[in-house]
Amino acid sequence: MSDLIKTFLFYDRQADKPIFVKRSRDIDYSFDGPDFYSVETAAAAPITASENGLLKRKVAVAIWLRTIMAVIDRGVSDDFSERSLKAIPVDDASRSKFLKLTAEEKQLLKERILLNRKRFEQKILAAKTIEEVESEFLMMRNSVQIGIYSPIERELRKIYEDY
Amino acid sequence: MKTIDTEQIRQYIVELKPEVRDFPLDATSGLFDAGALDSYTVIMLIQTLEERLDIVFDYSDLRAFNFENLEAILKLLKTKYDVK
Repeated sequence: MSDLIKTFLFYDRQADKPIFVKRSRDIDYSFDGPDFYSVETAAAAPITASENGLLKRKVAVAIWLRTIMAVIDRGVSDDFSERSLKAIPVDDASRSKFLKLTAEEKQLLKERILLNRKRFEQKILAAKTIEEVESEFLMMRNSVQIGIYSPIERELRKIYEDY
Repeated sequence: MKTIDTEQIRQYIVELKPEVRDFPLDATSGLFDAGALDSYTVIMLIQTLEERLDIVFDYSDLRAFNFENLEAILKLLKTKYDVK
């Protein structure tokens, strides 16, 4: 476990006041929007000061998105780990081809996760009202795209059943 | 040092999803199978635990099996995050 805890401070550009604080060991929460920016620091976080509800909500939703995408990415790494792949019965003659294909599939999935994260993030950051943020948040949560690799097997099974 | 038990974790989940109050959950009930947690609420629970217990989860611990039941969550908190 990493002992270094980073603190990400999010600032309201116009008021130049902090709006949100997020601490993390590994996940990168640095992202900027047209109306806020983030600063990474190792220092303790100050108390949030700005009352800008729209910006706070945007940052909160974007943080949720980054966290779940990190969890999904972790799931892909686990499922495609050497240990997991060894457990799949493939004859010796085909194993190297199998490993090459799974490596490509893993790469594609990870690229897709990153692409989806960027796509959702852009929409959230560009939102002009809290209603827009909530609408995009709902879309994200309900999206099958975000479930291309759901961290929750039960949800993944549900997606398969629905199709 | 913060303290916690399975009932407190259950209360945090209820705060995020009030209908869970009526779910017949014990410490080993599957939270995902029961519908108490999903990919939305599990992330919110992670954030709630971080804020209330003043901890920061390690990325490698953000796996579904660590959150599959109240006992698993409690075990993770006690063994890795110095929560009693």
